[in-house]
Amino acid sequence: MDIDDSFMAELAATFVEELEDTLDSIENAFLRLEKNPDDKDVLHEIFRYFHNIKGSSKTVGFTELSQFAHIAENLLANLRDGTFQLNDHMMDALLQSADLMRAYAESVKGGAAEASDLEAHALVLGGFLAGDQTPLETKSSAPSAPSEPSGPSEPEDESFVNFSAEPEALSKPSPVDNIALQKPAPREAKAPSRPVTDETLKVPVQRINSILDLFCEQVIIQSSLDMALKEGQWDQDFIEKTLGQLKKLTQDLQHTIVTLRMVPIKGLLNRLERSVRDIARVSGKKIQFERHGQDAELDKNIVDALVDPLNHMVRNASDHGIEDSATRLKAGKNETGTVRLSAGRVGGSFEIVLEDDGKGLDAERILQKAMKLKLINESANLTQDQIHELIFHSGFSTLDKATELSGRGVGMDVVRQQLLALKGSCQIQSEKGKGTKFIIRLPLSLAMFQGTIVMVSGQRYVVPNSDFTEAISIDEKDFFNVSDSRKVVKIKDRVTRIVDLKGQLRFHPHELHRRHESEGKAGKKLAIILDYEEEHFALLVDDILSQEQIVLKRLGPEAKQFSKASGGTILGDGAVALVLDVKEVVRSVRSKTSSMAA
Amino acid sequence: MDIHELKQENLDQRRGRKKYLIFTLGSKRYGMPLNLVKEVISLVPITPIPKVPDFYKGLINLRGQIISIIDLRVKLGLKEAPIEPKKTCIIITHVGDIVVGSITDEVIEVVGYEPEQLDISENERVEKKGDGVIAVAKEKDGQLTLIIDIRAALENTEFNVLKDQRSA
Repeated sequence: MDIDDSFMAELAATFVEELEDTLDSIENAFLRLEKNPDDKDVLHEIFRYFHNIKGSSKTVGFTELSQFAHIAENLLANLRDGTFQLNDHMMDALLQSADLMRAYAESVKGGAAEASDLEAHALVLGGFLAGDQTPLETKSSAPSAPSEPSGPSEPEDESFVNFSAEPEALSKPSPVDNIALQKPAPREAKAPSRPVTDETLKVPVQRINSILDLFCEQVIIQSSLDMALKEGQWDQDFIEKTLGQLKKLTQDLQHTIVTLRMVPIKGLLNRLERSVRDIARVSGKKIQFERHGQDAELDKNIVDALVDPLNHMVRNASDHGIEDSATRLKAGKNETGTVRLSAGRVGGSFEIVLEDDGKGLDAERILQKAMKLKLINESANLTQDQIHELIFHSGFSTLDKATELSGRGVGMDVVRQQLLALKGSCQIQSEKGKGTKFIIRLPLSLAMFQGTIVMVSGQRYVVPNSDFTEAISIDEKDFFNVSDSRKVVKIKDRVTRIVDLKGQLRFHPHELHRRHESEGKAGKKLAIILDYEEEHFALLVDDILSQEQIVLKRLGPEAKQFSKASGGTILGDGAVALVLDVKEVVRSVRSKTSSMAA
Repeated sequence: MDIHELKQENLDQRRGRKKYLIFTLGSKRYGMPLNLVKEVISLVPITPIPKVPDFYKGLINLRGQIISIIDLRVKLGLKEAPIEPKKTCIIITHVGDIVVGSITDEVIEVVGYEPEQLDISENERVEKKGDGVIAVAKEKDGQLTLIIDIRAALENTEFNVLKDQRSA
């Protein structure tokens, strides 16, 4: 058959997207099913999902997936019809199917379909079908394949390896049962191998319609201006009125366009719930996951980037935070622990509160550990909150041995880094015995943020508000020279290192001479204050102009020669301003001085 | 484009005749292959970028897109002269995947040159000077016009990214 390669690749890309959506639904349905195992409707729903995957994956040539879905579908059909009773092992195996299919989808996106895990897992599912109510492989929750991908050497296993013979228990042969189910050995290479890179986004049609409406409005305003100009019928009033309309329109357009990138966080919460469930299962604890505000929307990039840090936090809460039933009962708590996540807009930002009613942080132990790691001084007098903050330190973990569940080598410091990279912040509140609460604040969109416009050497720069703690005025007489390249000042009893942005933002030598004149004004200086790796910095600026909502624009690769800008923006007067990466500025100052000292 | 123009274009191509955008820098005439030119705009405020080479003038807002501006005068090693805002133009070109604007003194016209008008033997010069001059065109009145390929002009500069882009 001579179907165009690119056409097939496109089909595959669409399929993978749909597959991922379906997997979200599947996972969600499984979790509902688990709470309500007798709900035949949910079972039927899941059955349909698998059925769809089976059909559509076959159409686009992902035979391995189709065969896998077929086996799962058979199992589900038996569960639905009551031939089998759903037990925990099956539940785990089915949930794991979703994981493996997700991994498969990832591998297709990466350009090389990898189905060996699926094939291995098909054996497990096949085992259930054979009437074996405890699976071949029960313990490990990791998606590792059964160690023996045993070839057709053992006669009783052969049928499943080949995916072919239908076990007796399979009572209801569906019309698709006779797909040729041969072991799909080297066929994988045939699967579309072009990496799927173009990301797509599902957008409610309503939003696109409103953009079209706004656009039409704009055309009308343009033509009314046009006409007024041609006929000479314009005056101050007319211009003011039209401009007013235009401004309103632009604002509406901006808001609507920004919402195009917004997706509900429901999918993210499903995954978190899944993590809680897995930990509860493996650890034998009773944990419920409560969610509030799952329909709240957030920029898709942010949602994607939140998966890892939040997952880590939720795992931490379930694994380390929530106690086992006996301990909880003894402490007079409800036997079932609760991990609660609430999300929603608070003012101009997005807030996620993650709390558990577990044992809380043990300040005493954190202190001891911190001293042992030499993070703090023995004589340090820290407040409760400051002690809790210590867990964000790199290399910090109060559990001396990280458990398999939550300690995957990533600590809270990584979590915080990931949140900071999103221009977010993370606060912690904890009470021993009562539980722990994390408050995460994020911008609504990565493309827009609140920024402060500062003046340095006659140029305007934007500093994201999330990048600094405060802006203050300091007196030059208080500066203290530590060395030629190092000046400090005491701000609120903290030794703060001074960095003159003027020196960091020099133009090429020709222009240097011209821009020297503003040096003269001694005395009061304006500075923005930020912390970077336990050091306090004051960045001197010439002036602080205003705070504005900033739309971040990407710069071309050629502008990356200047590494201290994270992007650009267009200011109200149409001019371009660079968005400063003050962390990078401070980092380069630090590395420069340390290399000088060396 | 009407039928006549289309025919002319066709004819031009068959004859190997190509069109160039002619502009001046100082007293000299320069040309740039028209197919590289995206548009020509008048001078707008440029935001300088710290710590970049001196020919890299900074960034402008082109209808919401931020693009880089270079000063061809500086790039070609000519004397820097005060900018005359009324005449000065920015020629916007695609260089690989990125868009770059070049400041020129004045944009004059679009002309087509016959192959025999172009002296490409100057090609070796490019290697030496790196000024992006790919040919010299002899005008009918004996004047010379230097033909510049902006991609070649930027090739051996700190705009290394451009080079990468181009070879990629």
